[in-house]
Amino acid sequence: MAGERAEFRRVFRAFEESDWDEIHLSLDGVELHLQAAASSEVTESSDVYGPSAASQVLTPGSVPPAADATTAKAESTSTPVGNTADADVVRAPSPGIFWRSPSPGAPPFTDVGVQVEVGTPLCIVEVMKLMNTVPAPCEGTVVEVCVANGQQVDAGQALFLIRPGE
Amino acid sequence: MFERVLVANRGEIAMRVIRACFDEGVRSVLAASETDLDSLPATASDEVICIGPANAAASYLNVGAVVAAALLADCDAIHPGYGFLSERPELVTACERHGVTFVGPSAEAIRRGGDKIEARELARSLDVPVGAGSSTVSTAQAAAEVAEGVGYPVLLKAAAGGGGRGMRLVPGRERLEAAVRDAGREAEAAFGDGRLYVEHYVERARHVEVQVLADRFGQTVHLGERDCSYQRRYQKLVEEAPASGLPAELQRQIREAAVTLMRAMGYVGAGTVEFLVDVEQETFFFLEVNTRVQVEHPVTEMVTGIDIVREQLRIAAGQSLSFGQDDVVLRGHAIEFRINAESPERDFAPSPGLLTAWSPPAGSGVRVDTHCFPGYRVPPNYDSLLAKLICGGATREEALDRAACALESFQVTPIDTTLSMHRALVRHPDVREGRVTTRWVEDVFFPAWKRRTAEQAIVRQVMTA
Repeated sequence: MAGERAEFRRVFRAFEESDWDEIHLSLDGVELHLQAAASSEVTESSDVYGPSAASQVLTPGSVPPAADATTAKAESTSTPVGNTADADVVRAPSPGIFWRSPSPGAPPFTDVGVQVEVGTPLCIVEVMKLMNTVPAPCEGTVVEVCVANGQQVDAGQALFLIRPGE
Repeated sequence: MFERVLVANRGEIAMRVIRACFDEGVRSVLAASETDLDSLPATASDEVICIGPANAAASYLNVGAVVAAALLADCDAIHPGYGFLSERPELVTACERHGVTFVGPSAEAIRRGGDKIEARELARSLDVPVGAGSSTVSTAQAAAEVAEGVGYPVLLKAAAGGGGRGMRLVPGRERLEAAVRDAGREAEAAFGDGRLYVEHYVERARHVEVQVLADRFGQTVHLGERDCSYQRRYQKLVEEAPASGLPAELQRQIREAAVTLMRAMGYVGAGTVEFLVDVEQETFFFLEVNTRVQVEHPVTEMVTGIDIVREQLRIAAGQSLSFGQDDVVLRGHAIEFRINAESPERDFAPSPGLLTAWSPPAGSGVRVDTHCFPGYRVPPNYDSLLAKLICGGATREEALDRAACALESFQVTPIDTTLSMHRALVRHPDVREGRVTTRWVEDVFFPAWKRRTAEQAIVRQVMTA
């Protein structure tokens, strides 16, 4: 066990001395999560844990926390607005990663309550480094965002609900 | 030699590095993202450490995660593979700072190689031919003056680009202003460096690159050259070693220029110098340096018998090269086909998914570098390379014949792959006759092939109607 502690100490020290933002390592059933504090003082925080309950806004290329996908979905997807019974489902054209914004830090393409037209960009589904923009198939109002930013989706998976009409 | 090496990559190159570690008697520790924990490299390596979620930015591209993983797993070296962090000076300096050996050149060599303008200037100072053109142009006016001098069309290139990124073809004066403005903006956004330079555009060109190995003691040798002219949107599809049909004197000059340049850079490790050969003029000029092991290294291994990745480990461990230039003999010919999870029929749309059948060819003169297996689910998070098929023979013709058979028997179900396209390419008369230039795939081969496959699809539809 002494050897393991020495290695952990080396990692903590290295993290302290460097400008690294966040690392999440897992070795032999032990998880190590180090995150630099937002303040100018870099404090070390470590915890051994399982799926994280914290969610964070993710954008293409950003460093997301190691969040359990289902937990992140529950926390980051929007609450459906209004009647979703007559809504059209916008589905993922392929498997890939769901991005809400065109690039890191940019505002999302759309959101709940936004009026869209045929062809309005809704999101990106990234496949093997190819960014596919998914357009709205109909005119209407976005009533639900079904997937969390940065989540992996399957082909055909529901991404948005749009209530057609004005 | 190292005790434990962190393999900071994934896919087929992770398999390759793990194999070299095994051959050198070194323990391999795979640094894998959560998605890759059940991958083939994870079963092949001695140990596995998870370095973060599937998103590459959080794992494979995270310098802190990779270096900390080496510390936590008690590794004395990190092999970065290709892509990802392999040409990021930040990883090298972090390794130096925390007492881990980086299997590759110095941070300074990577930085110099990565600055295309600086590399060009170095070549020029060594009397290595460079493409007619300029160093940095900051204004459209300056670019126009250079372009008038070398003649249109010209290429506008980003200093921080490379590998085909950040390049723009400017056909004439009228497009130059807009091109300089757009290219500068794109380069600034993509690379954080908006510097541009102008280069003469060669219509009929071959991409010829030289493999170099150099140890810490100043010994620098070349392992011959490769022809990588089969490109689509500057992505290589097929590579060969050596470059056939090159006039002997030209070949000698190219190889020598590569060694001269690498020696002047104080390069240590495996690296590649890229050149463009002007087919009409029978001249060559320097393009750029790649300061890492390359995807296509197997074709050079096949014709030289030298294990490039093992040499990387040895060089990084401080050993001197066990052979000199005179010991390097190229025998026969080798050709590599990149098998990607893309559908050439549907404009190379990516096709990740579950492999229900995966049956690569085998036999004498046939090598397959891959991480795939029947039942493997190809993830959508990373690039589309599934396997490299390398075929060799005593002659180029023999290598091509062998490749045609090997491609025929390579079975992959149900995802789409570039196998269909390669099967037609390997039989094409231009390939057989050695008439391929860098525009060939996009201008000659692909349009005709696409038309033919579309026609065949229609015929099939009619027949089954």
